[in-house]
Amino acid sequence: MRLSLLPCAGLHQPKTLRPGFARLCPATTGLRHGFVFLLSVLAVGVIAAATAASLLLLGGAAESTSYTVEQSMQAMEFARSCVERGLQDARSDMAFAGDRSYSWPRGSCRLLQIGTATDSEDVFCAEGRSGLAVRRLEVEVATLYPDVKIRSWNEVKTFTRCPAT
Amino acid sequence: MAFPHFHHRSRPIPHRCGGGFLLVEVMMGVALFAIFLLAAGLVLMNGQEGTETAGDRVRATFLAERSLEAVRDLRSVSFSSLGDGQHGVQLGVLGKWEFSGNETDALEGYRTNVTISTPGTGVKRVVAQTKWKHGVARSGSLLLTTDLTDWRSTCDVGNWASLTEEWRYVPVAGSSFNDIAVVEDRAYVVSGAVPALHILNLSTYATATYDIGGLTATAVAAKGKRLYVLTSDAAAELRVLNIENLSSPIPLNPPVSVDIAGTPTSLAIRGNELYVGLTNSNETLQPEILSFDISDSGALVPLKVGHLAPLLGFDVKGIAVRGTGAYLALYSGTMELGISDTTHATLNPNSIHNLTAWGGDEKALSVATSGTGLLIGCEKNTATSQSPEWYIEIVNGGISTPLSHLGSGSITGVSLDPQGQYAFLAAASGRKALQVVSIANFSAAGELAFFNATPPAIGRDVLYDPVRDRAYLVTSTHVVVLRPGGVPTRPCD
Repeated sequence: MRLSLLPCAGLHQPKTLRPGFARLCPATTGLRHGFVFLLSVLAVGVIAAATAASLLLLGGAAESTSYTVEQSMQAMEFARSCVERGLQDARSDMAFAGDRSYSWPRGSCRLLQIGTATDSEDVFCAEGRSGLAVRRLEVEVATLYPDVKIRSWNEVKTFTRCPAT
Repeated sequence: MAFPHFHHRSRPIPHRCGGGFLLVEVMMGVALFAIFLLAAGLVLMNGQEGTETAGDRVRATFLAERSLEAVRDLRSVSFSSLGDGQHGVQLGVLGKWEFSGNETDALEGYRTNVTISTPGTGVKRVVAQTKWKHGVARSGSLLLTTDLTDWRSTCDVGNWASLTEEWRYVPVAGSSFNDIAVVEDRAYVVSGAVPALHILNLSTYATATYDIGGLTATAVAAKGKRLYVLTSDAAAELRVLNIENLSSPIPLNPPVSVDIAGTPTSLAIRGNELYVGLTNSNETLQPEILSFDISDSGALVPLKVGHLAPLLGFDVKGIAVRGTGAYLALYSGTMELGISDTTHATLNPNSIHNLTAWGGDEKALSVATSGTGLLIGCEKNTATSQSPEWYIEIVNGGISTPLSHLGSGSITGVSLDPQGQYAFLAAASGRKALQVVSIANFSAAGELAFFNATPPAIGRDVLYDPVRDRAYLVTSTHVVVLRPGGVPTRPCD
């Protein structure tokens, strides 16, 4: 009797052999184990890859956050610088009206027109920028002479006491 | 090709036929798994490293910020201690910040230094740099920059018990000066003669004049780089000049002016509002006080008006604005002080006061505020030959019992020092054109010093300059810069 060999590697093994064909491979053992192992590897790999990617993204996000923290801190320093310069200019010029801008290599600040508040001399509104970070300060000055007396020094989301320019 | 013959056997021989395939599969699987594992490991390490690097940077940011705060603290003690160069900062034995070496070592490999430079007069630029190195891969540095100024220092006020004339401006052509405003180191004095504007450089004492179209002027006020002048032009009394170039005023382009019905007498600025006082007592329908929005430096936007019409006979001779109050010097023998609430829809006075300490018929000519103080100068009473001025404390919107003092001649201009020690009075009299009075105790200390105008002239206005600790006396013919006698003090400039 002549027999034809049936390939073992295929996924679709006929359940019954036609005449002239002989089952040369074990029906399930080695083949199924390899297949399951491969699938397991793939599944575990996908999970591992997803986990790793998440961690990678988390690491990236943390780095991004750290840069944002740095820029935010720098933006606040620029806003403070604007207030510092504004207070000095106001003390050396009786007609000082604000509306100044200053810049540094890594950012800038803008001092809006001096605003007014009840029972206060002036309100200084300063906006510092560094990268994408923006910080705003509203500083209410009770007196300028002989000492500068600060009534309030607040970080704000939007300016409310200085005229828009 | 013919297949070899096989003998049928009861059991298959898997090892011979499938073994190779399974091995390849296993090897592929293991290889794939190894690749995944390697990739995952690398990514894990990378992610971990990113997180650690982020932590390094955040920590370094706070260390740099702490150094800037330390320098800020040192500035508060002494601005002059901020010497240019690279410094380290550390807490001293007394728990106060101090400079130490040129770098500060923090724990765990962080090093911070601050570099101080002077980018402009009175400004210190502080750059804090923090470096870190943790192994081969985790190293870096960052910078934080800030500017500091000397705004925390105190501007001294000298002892005005005696006066010294520092400089005098007497123009060649006769002038009739009326009012003065100061911007930076320039004084702008308006005159009732042509040219109407005189510019005095208070640093070099160079002078210049500006002819406002052949007009004369009665009052001037300044805000930023804009000069507001009341001129003799009946069709455009209030004019705005551009003083971007402090020495060369020019009209705005396009010109900005306002035709004010009536006779404007005085100007005052509070924030972004300009107030104009008028003598319209004979015009029942015309306001005695106006305000304009000057937040747009190229426009005068009318805001509010105030009427004294029900009390005919009241003219506004002077305005001073503080907080939400506009204080009006009323030219009336019975009511000298009017107070308008600037937050109301109109500037109609909320209260009017009769300051009759001297039994009188005195009429207010001038008013000034500083801190919580309000000073009102009056016309000389021809019946009693007395010229009182009143000093009032403004407390929670109300006024205290007035303190009064008798000056010499009609008090045409008043000014206060911000510390509340001295009142400066310009009197319309040849003798004692300027008088300095102790505010702290009008009745006891009274007049501290005076200045006789030479050449003879009458006082028109006075302005105390807290930046320089100087008083500018404006007389009918000249301007005098006065400083306190004795040891020179350290003013703000």
